[in-house]
Amino acid sequence: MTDKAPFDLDAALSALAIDEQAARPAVSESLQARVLGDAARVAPPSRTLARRAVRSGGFRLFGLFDVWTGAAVAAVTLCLAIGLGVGYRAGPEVMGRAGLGQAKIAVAAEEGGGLFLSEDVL
Amino acid sequence: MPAMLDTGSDTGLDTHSTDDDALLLARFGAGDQGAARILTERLMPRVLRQAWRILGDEAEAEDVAQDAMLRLWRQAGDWRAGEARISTWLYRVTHNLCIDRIRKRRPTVPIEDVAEPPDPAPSALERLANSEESRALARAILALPERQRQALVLRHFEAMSNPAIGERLDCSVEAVESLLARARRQLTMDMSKEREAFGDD
Repeated sequence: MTDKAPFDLDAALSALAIDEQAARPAVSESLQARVLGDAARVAPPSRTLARRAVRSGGFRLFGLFDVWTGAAVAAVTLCLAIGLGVGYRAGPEVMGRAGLGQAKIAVAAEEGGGLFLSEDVL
Repeated sequence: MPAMLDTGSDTGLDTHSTDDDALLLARFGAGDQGAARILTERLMPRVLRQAWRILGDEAEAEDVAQDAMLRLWRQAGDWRAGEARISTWLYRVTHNLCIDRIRKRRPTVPIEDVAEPPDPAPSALERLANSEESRALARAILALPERQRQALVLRHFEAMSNPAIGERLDCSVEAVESLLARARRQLTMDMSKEREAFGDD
């Protein structure tokens, strides 16, 4: 009768694991390309807001407006500035009628007409 | 029998947190293709190996891995961080896809037309084993109940910790320890019988 060495499960598992690791498949470039292709195909649209297209014949000003929108904004700003200047020169009486502490617009027809804003919003 | 070992971890020594995976998936959901590339590099090797172990065929395993990843991309917009771990989710999806493939392989012919079944083909693990003892051990592992087999393979082939295995199999660490203990006991018994039957040479 021969003596048999006890079965060493850990050693046997380690040997099998080494065999298994040597045979493991690796991710091929073609598989990776297929997976990334799928990702691109089903990707949700970017949440970054799309920039509005510039109108035909225009160009973007300061990265914000096209030239026509920019011109309109500039015109409105100029009108407001003129109105404010006239109102300031008209003196405290007109400003008082416009109302203090609130941004009110008053038409001062008796003082010569024009748009006025209260002083606290200047 | 097409069964291979069914597991699905990379090395068990995770170099990134699963929170990172969720963050990357959220970035992909927001339109970041770079996040998809990183996720692919992280997750694909383990998905491919898992499929290969179950199916025993590299080409089929690649198809399953691609399909599993496609399902992940489609989930990106609806993924709720904190509810499930991406690795666990992907493990289950891959497993189910493999089982579906195995079912489709089975011929649907009338029973009277079926010839004598051939001897079962050796599993991939048996084929790659370098010794008779290793082949016997591979057969014994494949004969284990599924949960025991999964726990054992994750522990000994993927070097995962017990908590990581519990996370993957969705059970407690104590349950993992119990699964491993029963698996080891069964394997020791089976291998002892094998040695008695065939001698110790």
